[in-house]
Order: sequence, then structure tokens, then C-alpha cells
Amino acid sequence: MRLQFGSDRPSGQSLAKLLTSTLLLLTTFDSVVAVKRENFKTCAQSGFCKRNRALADEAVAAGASWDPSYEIDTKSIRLGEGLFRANLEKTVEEGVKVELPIVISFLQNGGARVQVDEKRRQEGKIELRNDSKARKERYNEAAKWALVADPEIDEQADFNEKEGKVEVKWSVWQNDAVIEFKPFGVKFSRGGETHVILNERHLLNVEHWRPKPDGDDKCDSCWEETFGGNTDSKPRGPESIGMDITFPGYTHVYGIPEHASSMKLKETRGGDGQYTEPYRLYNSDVFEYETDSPMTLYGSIPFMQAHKKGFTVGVFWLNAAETWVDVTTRKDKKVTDTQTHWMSESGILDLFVFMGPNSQWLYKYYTELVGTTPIPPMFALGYHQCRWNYVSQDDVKQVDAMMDKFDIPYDVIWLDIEYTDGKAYFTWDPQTFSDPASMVSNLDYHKRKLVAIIDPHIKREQKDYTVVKELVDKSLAVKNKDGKDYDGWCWPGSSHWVDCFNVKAQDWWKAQFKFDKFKGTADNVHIWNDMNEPSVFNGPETTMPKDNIHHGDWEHRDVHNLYGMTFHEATYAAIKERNPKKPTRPFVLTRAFFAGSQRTAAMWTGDNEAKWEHLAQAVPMLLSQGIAGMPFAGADVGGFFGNPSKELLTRWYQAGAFYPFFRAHAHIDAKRREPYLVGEPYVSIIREAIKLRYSLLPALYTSFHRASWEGMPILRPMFLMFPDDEEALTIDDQFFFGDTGIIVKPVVEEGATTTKIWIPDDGIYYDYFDYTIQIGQGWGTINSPIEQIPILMRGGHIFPRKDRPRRSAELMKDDPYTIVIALSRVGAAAGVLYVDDGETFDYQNGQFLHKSFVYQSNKLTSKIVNNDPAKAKPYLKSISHVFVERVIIVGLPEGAVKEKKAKVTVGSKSWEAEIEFYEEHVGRASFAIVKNPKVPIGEEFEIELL
Amino acid sequence: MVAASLLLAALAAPLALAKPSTPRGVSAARAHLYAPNKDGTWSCLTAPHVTIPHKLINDNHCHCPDGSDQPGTAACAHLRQHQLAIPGFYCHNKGWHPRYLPLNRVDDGVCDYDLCCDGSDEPKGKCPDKCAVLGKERLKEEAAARHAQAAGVEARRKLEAEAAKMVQELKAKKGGLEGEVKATEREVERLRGVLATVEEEERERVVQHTESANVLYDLATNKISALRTALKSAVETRDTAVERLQRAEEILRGLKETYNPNFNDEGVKAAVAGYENHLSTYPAPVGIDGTVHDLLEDDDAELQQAAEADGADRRKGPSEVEQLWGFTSYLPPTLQASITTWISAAKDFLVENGVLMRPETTSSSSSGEESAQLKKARESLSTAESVHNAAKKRLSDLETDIATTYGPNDVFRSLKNKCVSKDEAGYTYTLCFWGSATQKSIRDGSSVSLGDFSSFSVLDEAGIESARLAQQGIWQHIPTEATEGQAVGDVGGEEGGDGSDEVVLQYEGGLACWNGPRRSAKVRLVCRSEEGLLEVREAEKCVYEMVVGTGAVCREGSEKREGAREAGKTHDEL
Repeated sequence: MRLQFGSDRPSGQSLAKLLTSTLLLLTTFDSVVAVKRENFKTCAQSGFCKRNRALADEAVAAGASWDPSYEIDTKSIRLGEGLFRANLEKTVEEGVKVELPIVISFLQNGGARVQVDEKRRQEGKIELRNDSKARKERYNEAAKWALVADPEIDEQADFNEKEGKVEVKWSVWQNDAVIEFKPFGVKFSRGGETHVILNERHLLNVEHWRPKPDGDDKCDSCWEETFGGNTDSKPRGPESIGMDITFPGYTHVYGIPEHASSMKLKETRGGDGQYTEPYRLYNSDVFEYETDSPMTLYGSIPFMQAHKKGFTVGVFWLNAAETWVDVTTRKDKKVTDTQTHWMSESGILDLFVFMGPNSQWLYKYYTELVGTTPIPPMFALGYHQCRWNYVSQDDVKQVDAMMDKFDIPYDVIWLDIEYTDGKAYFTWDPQTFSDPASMVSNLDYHKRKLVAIIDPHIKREQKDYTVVKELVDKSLAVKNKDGKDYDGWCWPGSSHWVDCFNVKAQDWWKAQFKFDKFKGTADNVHIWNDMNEPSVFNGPETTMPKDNIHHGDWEHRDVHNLYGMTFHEATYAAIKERNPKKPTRPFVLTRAFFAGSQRTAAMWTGDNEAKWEHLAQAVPMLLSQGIAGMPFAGADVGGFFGNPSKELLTRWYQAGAFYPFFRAHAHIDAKRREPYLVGEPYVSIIREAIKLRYSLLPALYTSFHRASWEGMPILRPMFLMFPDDEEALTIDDQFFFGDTGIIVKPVVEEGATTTKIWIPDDGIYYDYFDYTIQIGQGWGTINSPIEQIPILMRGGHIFPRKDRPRRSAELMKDDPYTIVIALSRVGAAAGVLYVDDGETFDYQNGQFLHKSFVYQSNKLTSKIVNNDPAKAKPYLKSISHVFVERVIIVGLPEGAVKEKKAKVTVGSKSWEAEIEFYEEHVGRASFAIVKNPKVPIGEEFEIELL
Repeated sequence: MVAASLLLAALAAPLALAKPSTPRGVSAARAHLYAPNKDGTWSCLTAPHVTIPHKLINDNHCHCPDGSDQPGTAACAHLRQHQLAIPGFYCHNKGWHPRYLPLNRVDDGVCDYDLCCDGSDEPKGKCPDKCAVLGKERLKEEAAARHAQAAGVEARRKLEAEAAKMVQELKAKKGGLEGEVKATEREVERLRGVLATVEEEERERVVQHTESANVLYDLATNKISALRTALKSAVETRDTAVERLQRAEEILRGLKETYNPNFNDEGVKAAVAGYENHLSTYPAPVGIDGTVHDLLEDDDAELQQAAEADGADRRKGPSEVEQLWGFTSYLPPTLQASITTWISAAKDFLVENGVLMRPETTSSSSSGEESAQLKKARESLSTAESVHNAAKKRLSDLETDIATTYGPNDVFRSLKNKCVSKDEAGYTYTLCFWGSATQKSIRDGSSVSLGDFSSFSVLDEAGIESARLAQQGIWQHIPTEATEGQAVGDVGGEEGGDGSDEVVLQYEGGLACWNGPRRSAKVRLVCRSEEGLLEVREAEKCVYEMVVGTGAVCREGSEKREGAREAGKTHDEL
């Protein structure tokens, strides 16, 4: 509401002016915002993708007459110690063969690893063109970065060599494999059922080294490749690898993030509602990306799950070069097979096959290989307030004060690039951030944190900037193809890029974060690594030239998708080590990622837009992150570009409250939208959503604990919990929230007042807020006016909560617990709680509490399930003052509460607690509240209803 | 009710004396509310049907639906503000002022000295009582603030007095103006009569003396020729402009097709977006239509023909052209007036739009067509009318100005066009009340407009324009008394929340930014005894926020606000 002053305004003219400026405003913000597709390659523009796809087309066209050129040289076969070793021969032309050493390792987890190299390159017997200084081998170090440990080989694997094939039986799962020699192919089966077939369609393709022929070569884009004015010199010539992987009987494949697409992967060679381009994995800063697209985005995890009723398998294509994946299906009578075709520009072929048998085992085995997300510091699970940019320390102080004034909890305030002195990282703008130390300590007063951005591009032209001087003097930057420090453009203008493939660069990077170097920082300052794809404004496809050279003389093309991870890993180590007296868990957010990134960073889905379709796109993307083993993920609440309507912003907070990583962010051109600015009723609705998040922190933290030891996602797709529910296989707009049994269905539709929700089984479900009962598998309808989030609790689960809303997560540390029990139809339920100090690494030394809760026969029993409870004593003592303040039991069978009292037993002592009981009432379940049972959470106890 | 509670208080007082057990977080004044019932129970304050054993008050478990049983713990902190029957956790703050702290800040490990300088919000021993030091400091600050406030109020009174004086002067002026309006009106009436008489005579003369028609004919020919020249030159100008536009569009098309969006160059992005918008607004390229050219050609030919044909008998009587230009003379005077007005408006329009040249060069158009007598009469009337109209306008402006209320007691009247400025980060910012806001570079002196005053509004604590103002008159909302704010976090003294609605001036339509929106400024007014620009920042791109001090917004008693705000800063000092 704006009021006109006086009576002499506005004249007609100024009214017209006003109208024009309003129009201008509208058009500016509504103007066409769209991805520049032409800035990124299509498969046809990426030489090796085009060649491999052409090969697939030829194979299809040839049909049965297709002549596969790869076979096992039977004389070379060596079997034993769990390994199949041989030479794979590629027939180039009559009598000319290329030797490709192959090793297939059979693993204790029931899976296998297939590695194919090229002998001639391996031995360095090739010549590089254009005086290249690059290495001659195929890149073979992706495993060094991605894996936490070598996979354990089943040395007892039983090999049985037969005519033209070897049969293998191995692992406790008793899996079978058949390696066929000519043409080469491998089938993986269990109990007579084949689940994964390699090279079934004979699309295996290893582009062997050859000298560049004089004159015109038919090989398309093999020797040079130009795109968008940049020319790739390709000193090693064509070197791609490709192979097809078939999942017989499987209709659903998932994973291979990051794409703004559905959770279930679509077909990529046309068809109704399908894509025509393959899924691309080439970490890229895609400006204003669009939804529902197989286009590449900021990160890559080449891990794919295939699921069918009763079985889940997976493949991990360990390659860090540009990669494309085609997905198609083959329908034959009743059986549908999913066929995939994997293509990478360079490197060795290194493939892991996981034989399930179900999702949970798959997560366990996959994350044993690439590592899990460690338990984050508690604050990182709180609400993060970000904007490009909080313009000054006073601005930060003001936002901080306003959040308190409006009683909106938050844990972290963020600083985007403008805090620096001219985009030179590790410096502060002297005008606007003259005293960062007091800003930071001011935040610490309420146990809040600051996250500051630090990107990998280091500004070249900056007076007295020791960081760039050292980077250059110590030769720790990425080099161009001529061996000089690569010079590209990013935020600061002309920049160099730190090369964290180099251990010395990592050490140097770590030193930059010491408190005496990065002045003004303290223990409560954590780091955001952005632009680490790497984003280079004037580079091909907004990144580095592929013929740039990294440490070890590897070409950028070989390691592109790893670059971002090496960078955020170095940052993580830096934060962990900056204060040796008190090491605390670092929080690092990254935009670029690869398999393994989950070990040291959280990710977010990059620069989304303030549009409903981007709100809807977020959940499928986050589910895919979980599927690929990187569950600590979020999307910018509110949408980065543009200005959300109040309704959209509110709905986004309601959805974001359940994102594993919960941050609001906005572009520098966007209007201010801190939650207290939205006006009523929205402020209150947003406040409630954020408070709901905080109340669920104990449950969320418990889920992160589980993710940390067996890789289970935080947001769990329906099919993960109900793998045999066909309907659930494609549902990607609702999810289970950790181990709580809570189903959340974010509202992503403008003006929605009701929402359909899939109830995946015949159990009993309760509305989270009013305990209304929902029964029966199928689509249910929930009222969802703007103030309501559709959330159901599945009967049979118990989860912990803390109901006292504090200003930040750490301030809730000593608050008592509320235990929520949603009873199944038979009146039983179970759940867990994990808690530790939330900030140090002491949990690795047994300092935590892990508890089970079981409810049956009207009695709640809580036991300590630490693997070494004795060791946990110091921690348990430190929380001896933390109690359970109430137990809420929903869905009590008739007659369960007789005396409105509960008997509380701890060890040999027992006492009574009061119960408030509410009968079942018009569709609302009965429920009881055990009031103030006075039991410390750290003790084993029983609470029995009397 | 009052009597009852007094009675209760009276009863409770000796009891409290006998057993001094004011629960934690409760003020002495409210302690009586926590007296036990006869049977040792206690009833929730606003939910008396819920009764609990008295000893469960502050047992760190929330029993009452209104939270009243836990005034000294955070157990009921999950209840929403509107459900709570207690104002918060009472901090005695001996040495300063009592304050209420939101319940969720009790026992959270933070010493909330900003509201609880006595540290009573945390378990004993955690937060030492700092009221002795802090209280002293704050009382001093508050006294200073009160002093400043008083000075501010004084300043406001001066502004009000000045405004009253201005109004007096305006009113005095008004009397004189009214006389002038009447006098000029009479003069107009008189001249109208003169004109009517002359016209009567003139009409007869026109009909009789066709000779004069020849003069008119020449005039018309000249006129048309002048018009043609003007139109030709206008068409040429237009053609050049169109060509230039096409070239510019060509450049923009090139930019749109070749730019790299990943550079995040706001200028380029804005240019491309603007171009796209331009295309959608003007879908067809601006072409040069032939009509005007044809018309000009036709005219040439026709005119020549007409001239030739006319040459023979132009003296026979008034030609059509003559009639056209002279026709007003044949009309009844009432119609004449309106037609003349209409023609003159049309002429003005053409002049303003560059089709016709300035009146100086074309004003001779009607000089010959009327007799000197008629012309004089007409001119006299016209002059008298404009004098009269000007007087009327001045009077109406004056009346409007007098009728306009510039704030409560007209306090803003004297600030009109007064300017304040401040140097900040290399720029001098200047703001003129009800005028314009500018940012001038200290280095190169270049100046950028941040907008002109467009409106003002009253903001609540979050900086949101209070919706509730919509239904009510604006000046009631320059808060004159403390009103309950929306924020729940800031529980003030016992009297209730502190109102901190603010008056904000909006400046809009400044120089356009690269990315589209025009610069604008939001100016918050705070109480100071002298006008001054206190703070400037660019809160979001091209949106400036200024804090301007002025006595105009000072009100009695509002120093509490400033005091509380000062108190809010104490974290820094800890």
C-alpha cells in the first residue's frame, strides 16, 4: 500500500511515466529467461558421442549381420585369485589387431569390476601431436580420487573354463557370470536369472591410437574439434571408449545425476515424451538451465540403478571424462529390457557391476566403494539464509537481528562473492566488511555460523595479492597446452585456477584458510565452493579447454569431472585442519561434484529459477542425488533467478524444510526476500515450516547417521521403501523422510487447496498434524491450503523430536525430547535415535548415543544400541541432564489407556507419569500423551501404559 | 474485575510476604496470579478448567494450553504467540528497567543481556548480573536519547509553527487573490460585450466586401504552402529516424544472436531482454508508408491545377479555400469560440509534435483576415481571459496548498524542497524532501538521479508497508503511541510492545540501471533535532535505502524506542 502525498500529483504525464516504468519493470523480469542451448554441445557436436552413436546405428541397421570386432585371445587367459585376466583383441582390419588388456575382478560383495586398457598407450609407444606435453597413457587415476578403498576381491571365486567361455560362481550371494570370448560379452546372473549383460549389443568401442593419416581422414572430429570459436587440439587423437549394458527384464533405471529431469530415466532416442539426446555428464555452469532435460549440469555421478520387482542392480562407470549415456528399451512380448549405451571421451574403461540384490544392499556396497556422507555438524542441518549478496557487515547484523525479531530460527548466514575486495578470495572489501571478526563473533553469540564463498579462480591483477603471487611462484595453477599458467575469465576477470590434483597445491590451499591468513574468520566460518566445474566465462562450453594440462601431465579432458571434487576436498581438509586445537566438522557446499564428493561436501542444484516448475523439479533431482550416494543435497529455496510470488516462496519453504540441505538464496537482481519481508499470513506460515524443520532435527540427524554408515538416502523414494509396488516406481514428487516413516508430498502447484498423495501400502497412515487416519493403498487426497504441508506418518514408526523452538540448532542441545509413536494396525512401532555432540569428531571415538525404541503391548522400551556403550560413558554423562519431556502415542487400540497413567521404569526404579488421552474422533485417531516421564534420554527405560 | 484483581492482590500480598515465592520469570506485580487455590492446586490463567498441583508451576513441562504455568521455563515455548497468556519471561533487571524475554530464549545457554541484563534467563551461575554496569550505561544512553528526543520534539514544534505561519501567509495571500479573480472576471465580461458588438458589425462587412476575400485567399495559399513545407521536413526527419532505428535494431539483433550468456554481463543481458521486449511490443519492423509522400505529390499537382483554374476567376467571390479559413466568421459567436479553441488546440498539438513550427513564425496567419477592430477586440478579450485564468489558477493552487495537510499539524510543510546530504564510499548522496534524490561521484562529479519523490508510506518493523493502513487515513499512522508490533521476539516493558512503525518516503524513476529497473530510494525518517542524511546503502541492486533524521517525526515518549534500539546493540559490547 503506497499513499499519494498531497493533491497536486500525479499529473497525467507522470502517470504515463509511472505506467511506462511499471511496464518496463514487468517486462524486465518476465523477459525471456532461457538456457542458451547453443552454448553446449549436442551429441552430434561432440565428436566421440557422434561416432559412438553412429556405431550403434550401424549395429542396429546391420542387425544379425553386425560383425563385432572384439574377442578374447584365449591363449592369454589367466584365471585365479578372483581375477579373470586376458587380452581383448580388437580387429582393426584383416590381420591387424589391437591389444586391449582386460581384467575382470569378482568381488566379495557379489559384484564385479571390469577394466579395459590399451597396451600401446599403456606402454607409451605413441606419438603426441602438436608438441603436446601430455601423458601418453589412458587416464587411470579416476579410482584414486573416487574410491575410498580397493574393492575386496573374492579370491575364492570359482572359474570354470569351457569352450568359448568361462563360467564363474562367486561370493556369498552365489552369483554367476559367463564371460564369452567371441564375440566378447559378459552376463551376470543369480539363480538362473540374468540381470546385467555387458556388450550384448556389441557396441564396445575402444578408439585405439593411430598416427594422424596424411590427407583427408574419414574419422569425424578425430584430430581437432572446434566449438563456439574454441579449438581443441586433441594431441592424442581419437581415444573414446564405449560399451552397451543391458538390464534384461528391467523397466526402470535411475541415477546418473545431475540432470533437471525425472527420477526415472527417460529413453533418449526419441519416442513419445522421451528425449532425443543422451544424458550428458560434463560438469558445466549452465546458465538458466531448463527443467525436463537430459542436458548436462554442474555435477556428475556415473552411477546407475536398475530396478524391477524383487531385484535392484547397479553399474558404476568410473570415468571422469565427458560422458554420454543413451537409454532405450526393448519390448519383446511380455518382457521389457532396458538398454544403456555408455560413451566417454578418454581414459580406461573401468566398470563396476553391483548385483544388489536390493536397494539397501546396493547403497551399502556402492558407498563402501566411494564412501558415504559423514555425519554433518548439527548446524548444517538448520536453516541457511543466503543472498547474492548481503552487502555489508551491517547488513548481516541487521538480517540476523530481524530473524530474531520475527522469531525465525536460522543457523547460517551466507556471503556471496561481493564480500571480497574485488573478487580476490581470502580478502574482505575494506569499505563494506571492515571488521569481519566482530561480525563473526556477533553471530557466534547465538551459536550461528557464517559461510563465505571461495571459488577456484584466483584473480591475477590485484595489488598486493599474495595468494595469486604464491600460486604462480609455486607453480600450483592449471596449465594451458603450452605449459604456461592457464589464464581465463571468471568473476574477477583474468584469473588462474588452483590445481588440486597436485598434493602441493592441496597443502598450499589448506594454508590459506588458517585464521592468521584468512583474517577475520573463526571456528564458526565455513566455506562454499562455487564455480568449480570449473566455470570459465570465456572457455569452450563455459569451462576449460580440454587440452589444458593438470598435475601429472594429465589433460583436462581426462579429469574434467573430477576437478570440482579435488577442489572441495582440499577445502574440507583445510577447514578440518585450520584449528588443530579444536578440530570440528567442516561444512563445505559445492556446486560441481563427482562420485565421492559426498565424503566432503554437500551440494545444491545450482542456479534454478523462481518458477513453479523449478520448485517441482527440485524433488526428483534431490531423489536422484540420494540414489547416486550423495544425499546431502538441496535446491535454492525461492529460486535463484527472478522474483517468486509470495505463494511460491511460501510453498518453497514448506518443501525446503525437508530438503537435506535447506538454504534460501537469491540472485543479485532479485528483490529482497528474507522470510520476515513476505508479510502476513506468509511470514507465520514460513516460520512454522522452519520451526517444523527444527523440531525434526533429531530425526534428520539420526537419518544422516544411517546415511553415514550404510549410504541410505535421506529423502527416500517410494520404491526404495516399497520395491514391489509397481505404481511407486515412477513416483518422484513425494518421499519418505529418513527413518521416520513420514511421507512428505510438497505442494508444487499454484493455488492448490488439495493434494493427491500415493499411499504405498495397506498400513495405517496418520496426518502429521491432526492425526486424521488415511487407510488403503492408492491415491489419497489431503487438504493443502497454503498454511498446510501434506505430511503423513506411517503407522509402525517411532521418531524423536525436540519441540522447543530456539534461535539456532546448537541452542537446542540441552532441550528435552518428544518421542512420537505412530502405531501400526496391530499397535506396534519401532524407531531409532542417534545423537552426539553435533560438532566435533569425538563420535568417531564412540562418543555418541544410539538408541532403539520398540513399542508393543502398550509398552515403550528404549535400549542403548551403541556397539560399545562403555566407551560412550563420557558422552552419556555430558547429556545426563537431557530428558524426555513427552511421549505421543497415536492410534491406540481400544482399551489401551485405562488409568490415564504410565509406569516409568529405569533400572530397578519406577514411578508413574500422567497421561492425557484423546479418544478416536470423526476420522481422527486416538492418541495419548505421556507427560513429563522424567527419564533421561541417555538411560535405558520402559514406559508402560496403565 | 479491576476491583476483584485488586482484592486478589491485596489478599496475595500478605501471603507473598509470608511466603515470598514469586515464581521465576514473574514480576512482583503479577505474583498474585500464581497463588495456590485452597486445595493446593492452581488453575491456568486463561484456561481455568485446567488445574494442576501448584508445585508443578515452572516444573519445565507445559501443562496449560495458554502456557501460563511455565513463566520461568521454555517448556511452553512451542505455543504460538496468540495462544500464550503470559507476556514472556520477566527480568527484574535491578538497576535498569524490567523487560520481558520471549520464552524460547530462557535456558538456551545464551545470556540475553539485551533484555535481561541481570542474567536471570539462564540457570544460576551461568550469566552474572551485569545490570550494575550495563544498566548504568543504558540509563545514560536513554537519558541522552530522551534529551535528543526532547530536542527533536522541540524541532518538530518549530516546524509546526513555521508551517502554521506559512499557512497564515498563504491565507492572507488568498484574500488578495480572490479580489483579483473577481476584478478580472468583470473585465472579461465587459470585453465580451465589446467583442459581440464589433463582430456584429464585422459579419455584415464580410458579406458585403468580397474584396477582402482575395486577401484571405493569398493567406490561405501561403498557409498551405507553409504547412506543406513543414510536413515535408517532418517526413524527412521521420525517415531519417526510421533508418536510424532500423540500424539500431540491426545492431541489437547481432548482439542477441552472438552474446554469451555465461558472462553474466548484466548490461548485455538487459540489452537483449529489452530488445526482445521491444520486438514483442512492435512486432512489425517500422516501415515507411507511401501515403504521406503520395499526399504531398498529389497536393502539389492539385494545387497547381487549382491555382491555374483559380487564376481566372479568383476575384469573383470567396473560393472554397477562403471560405474554409474564414468560415468561423459566419458562425454564431458561441460556436466561434469553441471552434477557435479547438483549432488552436490542434495547432498547438502540431507545434508541440514538431509538425508545425513555433507560433512566432506562423502567427501572422490570421492577421489579415479580420478587421483591425475585430482583432483588437478579440485580443483584448483573450488577454483579459488569460489574466483571469491565471488568477483563478493561482487561487486554486493556493487553496489546494492550504487544504493539503502536510502531516500531523502540517509538520512537513516547511521541509518542502529542503535538502540533506552525506558522503559515503566515494559518493555524495543528496536528498531533497518532496524533491529528488541524487548520487554524485566525488571523484568525477558525475551525478546520477536516484529518483523523484513519488509517495510515502508507513512501514512496520520488517519494513513491510502496513496493510492495515489501507482503510484508514494516513496521518493517524504516523504512530503517536506505542502499538503492538507484529514481531514476537521483541517483548518490551510491561506496558506492552513498542510501536516502531516508520514513515518512509519513496523516491522513484531515477536513472535506469543496466538491468532494467530505474533507480529508486526508500527513505526512512527517524527523529532527530536537525535534518540530516544519516545512512545510505544499496540494499538490492539499484534500490537505495536511506535513513534521514528530522524533527518532523519526533513524538513525545518515543525515545523509548530509540532507547530499546540502542539496548539492542549491546551484543557488540559484550
